[in-house]
This record gives sequence, structure tokens and C-alpha cells, in this order.
Amino acid sequence: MAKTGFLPKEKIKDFLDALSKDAQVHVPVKEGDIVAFKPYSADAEICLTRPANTSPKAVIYPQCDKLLSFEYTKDPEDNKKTSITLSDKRDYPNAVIFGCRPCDAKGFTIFDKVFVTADYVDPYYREHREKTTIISLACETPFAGCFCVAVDGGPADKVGSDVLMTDVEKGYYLESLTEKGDKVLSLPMIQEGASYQAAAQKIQTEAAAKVKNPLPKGATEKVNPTLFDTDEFWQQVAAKCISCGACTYLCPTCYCFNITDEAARDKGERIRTWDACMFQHFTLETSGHNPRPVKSRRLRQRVGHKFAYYPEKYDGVIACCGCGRCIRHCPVSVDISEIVGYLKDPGQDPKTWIERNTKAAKDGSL
Amino acid sequence: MSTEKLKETIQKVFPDVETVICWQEGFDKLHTTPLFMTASAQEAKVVWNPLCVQNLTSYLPSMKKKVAVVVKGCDSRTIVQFMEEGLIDRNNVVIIGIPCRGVVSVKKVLRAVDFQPIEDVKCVDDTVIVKTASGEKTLKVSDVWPDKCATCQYPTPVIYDYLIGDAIESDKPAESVYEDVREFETKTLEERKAYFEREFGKCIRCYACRNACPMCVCQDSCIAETRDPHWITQKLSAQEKMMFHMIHSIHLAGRCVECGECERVCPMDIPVAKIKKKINAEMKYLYDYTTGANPDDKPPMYTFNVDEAKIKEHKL
Amino acid sequence: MLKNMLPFVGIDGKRFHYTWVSASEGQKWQQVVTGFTKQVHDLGPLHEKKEIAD
Repeated sequence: MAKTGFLPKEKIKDFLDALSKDAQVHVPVKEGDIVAFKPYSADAEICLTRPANTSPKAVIYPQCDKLLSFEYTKDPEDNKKTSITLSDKRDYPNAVIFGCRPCDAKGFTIFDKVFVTADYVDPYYREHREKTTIISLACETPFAGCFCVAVDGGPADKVGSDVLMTDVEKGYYLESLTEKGDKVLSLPMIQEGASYQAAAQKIQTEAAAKVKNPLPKGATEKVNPTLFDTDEFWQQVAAKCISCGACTYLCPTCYCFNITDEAARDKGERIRTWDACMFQHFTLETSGHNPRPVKSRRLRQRVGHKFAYYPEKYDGVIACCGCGRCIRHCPVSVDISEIVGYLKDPGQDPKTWIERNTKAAKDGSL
Repeated sequence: MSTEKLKETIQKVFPDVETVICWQEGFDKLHTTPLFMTASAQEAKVVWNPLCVQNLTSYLPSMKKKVAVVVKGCDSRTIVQFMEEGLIDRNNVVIIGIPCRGVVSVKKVLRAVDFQPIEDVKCVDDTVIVKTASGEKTLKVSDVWPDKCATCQYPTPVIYDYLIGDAIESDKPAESVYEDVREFETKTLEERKAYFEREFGKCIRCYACRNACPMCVCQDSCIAETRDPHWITQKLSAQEKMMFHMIHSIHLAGRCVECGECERVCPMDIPVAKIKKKINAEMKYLYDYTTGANPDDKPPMYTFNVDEAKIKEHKL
Repeated sequence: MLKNMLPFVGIDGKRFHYTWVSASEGQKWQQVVTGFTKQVHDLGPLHEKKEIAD
């Protein structure tokens, strides 16, 4: 029987203070009109009533992470000889993500399969990941763009979280899902939770019923391979895309990166930073060749990676958590759930699609 | 009814062009999204209302075939600026102009309903009626419009092949356009520095602002992303983010048409247009130049005069 | 224009200097550089040195 607990609303600050004793706690903070994950401080205006604009991805997978530092020293005896000292000392703090949504937590499980495998382990990611505890808040209502139920998720999904909180008016019903979760629930201000279980269950079930599944009835499990390979389809759906990186940077499951050496004279750092497959130069090679020079190809890759390649490689797991941020914040409202709807529509015939939707969509600019 | 007339015009124009770029309903009731109309039957999806916020002209420089595009007043200035800079072939664009009394800022509408999920939105005359779980709220467009609409000098497109409806005169004083710049300059140097560091520190370098900018045509070889030469670091300090924004603003000197897209698309709600407005105010003062007003104008950063009226070389 | 943009974003205008110096004006170049360097040093650091931010 999983450990449960109850956190009264008036004890939230005490709870966060207690967690802050040996971890850096990250909470969704209201800054003007946006909500973003920031380190907890006593005067932070925590906002739990709507999903944050950004995902908490940066806590475990920083936008800029130092991989190593290097220093060149010239041999004083022979100035043609230079030696180099490398240092990859890491000292990541313990961290807690408080108040993210189940979709955000699920995002990290997508990273896990790629960054921590039997053959290769990314030590930076693994250390951040192992030192972080995730306390998610179940959603009561979907927001514009949300479609977690269409990608094997849900507003009270437990995958990826250490603790799941459900708002039961006076406080939060807590369910521990891991050992890390058990530790959180053993804090002194956590009261007994069993009496709130029924209420929490009701809220969770009602919430799941409210999320609309945008995929068509009888949606196929795999994407239609013919439509997926139809150029005209992608030119049409990608026509409005402006190739920025907003969708990628806000996405809880996107993990592409760049590695850059940045040095000034004889000292420098090798840093890993986020990259986006939507950028024009994402696939630019040192030869000068760019295999994906047009946005229709880039969008096809992004959708394909999340809904075709990743599931094929990792036992059907979809690399999308349905959080809807990409749809909400896209400058032109590209809707990935709509695109996947076309690709998984059992009645979709690529030939009919082309006839119905294209005049002569061969404009090379797309 | 504007929408009907718009649809009629689009149907008329459609056979002669590769595609008509207009607006359709978006993923929810509060959003529209660009429609690249490539089939006659898609005309039924066309909408025109205060939710039509996107500047559709940003696609023009990269489109090689003949297209038609629907433009509001602010959008039409972009086309004029393209012409001044030789970025489009005027013969390849059919401009359907539509006089506009203002659009909404999605962010301001959401703020007005405390960011609750939106169930329905209806546009009625100069109001939007927004329905959420707590009921219906009627908002005046002028209470939730982006800052650019509050000082709009060009409600009627400055260039068009077809005009849907009657021309509208601006009822906003010309001096109001840069009032926000003057107001900001009353703050102290330290206050301004703190403001920019706080606001632009939120930047996630997603480049939505850069890519949404119609005038930014070198996005695919952007100085902000080059590694060789390595102009701007990829590190996260507010200084580096400011470097990108300052460089981008300078690259738009004498080119920015104040369409407001940069600010609209920022996912972090940063006042991205602020520096650009200051530079535009300088352009107006130094060279008496307004972007996107007249296709025969020469952008001041493209020309050189030995003696400039407002620049005292030796006393600057 | 740049000179007026910098104070707008909170950077003291005295940190920017713009002048013509011909290759043959060696003494003037030395004066300009020395004078400007001192001017900027007197203003102090623009920002605190920060490691990679969060």
C-alpha cells in the first residue's frame, strides 16, 4: 500500500522551508502574467492554478550546463609546448520540483530512456536526475491545448513523479510513488491522508473525463506511413511555421542539444546548451550541406521523432506528454495534435488529402 | 458584412494565385491561425475579426510564386517596407487590404479572466464576449488591445489591390506613438538598467521574436547563433540576452514597422519591442523617417548624406 | 543613434565613444585610447561578474 499523506494549505510554506533545508526547491512563480519555475524564496508568489509557461525541464536538464572547464598553460622552458588542464568537477545540489503537472513529470521519463541506457550513461543528466525529487500536482481541469489523454497520459498520471498531490480544498492529498516520495511524506507537517483518499479519487476521475481527446475515433496506433512520406502534406501543415524554437524550448520532452567550447584567451568552458530541430541550421553540417533546409522537412522530423521514431525504438512510448505548451505559445498556433490527428486518422487517404488540400503546393520555399 | 466581402474577394482572386494567405479559426475559441488557402473549398474557413492578430506578410520574402495576402493597416506597412528594400516583387503579390479598428492581445484577454480556461469567445462590434467557468465577460477591444493599436496611425492599409470596406481615419494623435519611449526616459539610468536586466533576464533565446519579425530576413545566418566567429555566448546571463536583443534592434534600425509581432509571440511576456521603439523614435527625430509609409522612400540606413540636418558631426 | 540607444537600456552613454582617427594621427590615437580607457575605468564595472546563471 503506497504511503499517503495530507498537507494543509496553511502549511505549504513550512513544507517548502523544510524541503529547502537540504535541497534547492523549484516552484512555479507568478512574474507579471507568466508563471515560470524559479528557486523558492519566502517572498515568491507561488501560482498553482494554471500550468507554468515553461516546463521544469531546466531543473534537471539546464539550458546551459557546464560539462568541463579547460586551461592552457605554456611551458615556461619551451614556449612551443602547451599543456592543457581539464576539470569536470560537478557539484550539483539536491533539488525538488514542487507543483509541476503530471505531464511535466512524464517528460523526464522520456529523457531517461535516452540519457541513461545500459550501454551509455550521460553522467551530467544522471546526477541531476538522481538528486531531484518531483512533487506533481494533479490537474482539475484541462487548459487550452492540453491533450495528455491522447498520448497515454492523464491529469493525474503517476508516471515520473515521486509524489502526486491532489487539491482537496483544505489541503493536498499526497500519494508517494517512490522511495524519494516516502522521504517527503515523512516530514513533520504531513498529516495522515487516508481519509482524503476518496475525495482525491473523485477529483482525479472527473478531471480525466474533462480532457478532450483531439484524435479521431479509431485513431491508429502508428502514423500512416504513406501520408507521413507525402511531401505535399508537410508543405501544407508547415506553411505557417516560422522555424523558431519556442515549441522545443518549452517542451518537457525535447532534449536536443549543442556543445560549444567557449574560451577567452587561455581559459574556457565546454558547455551544453539546448538546441531546436526547428531552427534552420539544426542539421547544417561542417561541409556546408544541410539535409533539412526547408521547414516542411523539419516539422516532419519533429512530429516523426515524437510519434513514430521514438515509439518504435522504445516499446511504443510516445515522446510527447500532451502538455499543450507548443500549441499555446506557438506564434502561429501550429497544432501538433491536429497534425497527428491527420496522421492517425484511419480513414485518411493520402491521395484524397493531396487533392483536397493542395493547388500545386510545390513552391520550393516550403 | 466584412467577412462575406472578404470571402468574395478571396474567391475572385484565388484562380490567379498559388495561394491566398488569410486567417481561420485556431486551436481554441480565442485564437486564429494563418490559413494558406490552396483549395477553393477552404474559403469557408476564412475569418475576419479582432482575433486576427498575426502579421501574414512575414511569409512573403520567401515565397517565389504569386500569392495573395490579407493585410491590416500595420501589416501593409511591412509590404511597403519590403518594397523599399527590394525584398519582394510587387507583381507577385495581390494585396487584399482590410481596414481595422484594432485587434485583441490574447495575453490581455487571458489576464482579464484570470487565466481561466476559455470556453467560448464571440466578437460583437467593438467588444469580445469571453465565456469561462465563472460566466460571461464582455470586454471592449480597446481595453484588451496590444499597445500598438492604442496609437495606431494607419487603420487603413497604405497599399492594396482590393480594399474590403471603407477606409478609416486614425483618431489617435501622432505624438502618442512614442509617448511610451518618452515616459520610460524619465526613469533614472539605474532604474532603466534594472528594468532591462529583470525583463530580458527572462529570455529563453527561443528566437520566436526574431523569426516572427517580417523584416528579419537573415534569420538563417543569425549573428546570435554563429560559432565562427563566435559573437554571442550561449550562456544564460541577462547581459548575453541583452546583447542579442540590442543587436537585433540595431539591425532593424530604420526598418522596424512596429507591427508588434515580436512582443505578441514572446512566450515569456518580455517587452521585446521597447528598444525597437526607441530606435524608431530616433529615426523619426534624426531623419524624419517613418518606416513603411511610402514605397518610394529611401530607408535612412541605406543612404548617406554628407551633411545631415540633425546630426552635428563635430559636436555629437 | 547607438549613442542614444545605450542610455535607454541603462548603459551610461560615456561608455561609448565614436570618432575618426586617421592612420597617420598616431598621437591623437594614443590620446583618444588613453582618455577613453580612463573614462570607462572610472565608471566601474557595468555588471557583476556572474557564473552561468540558473
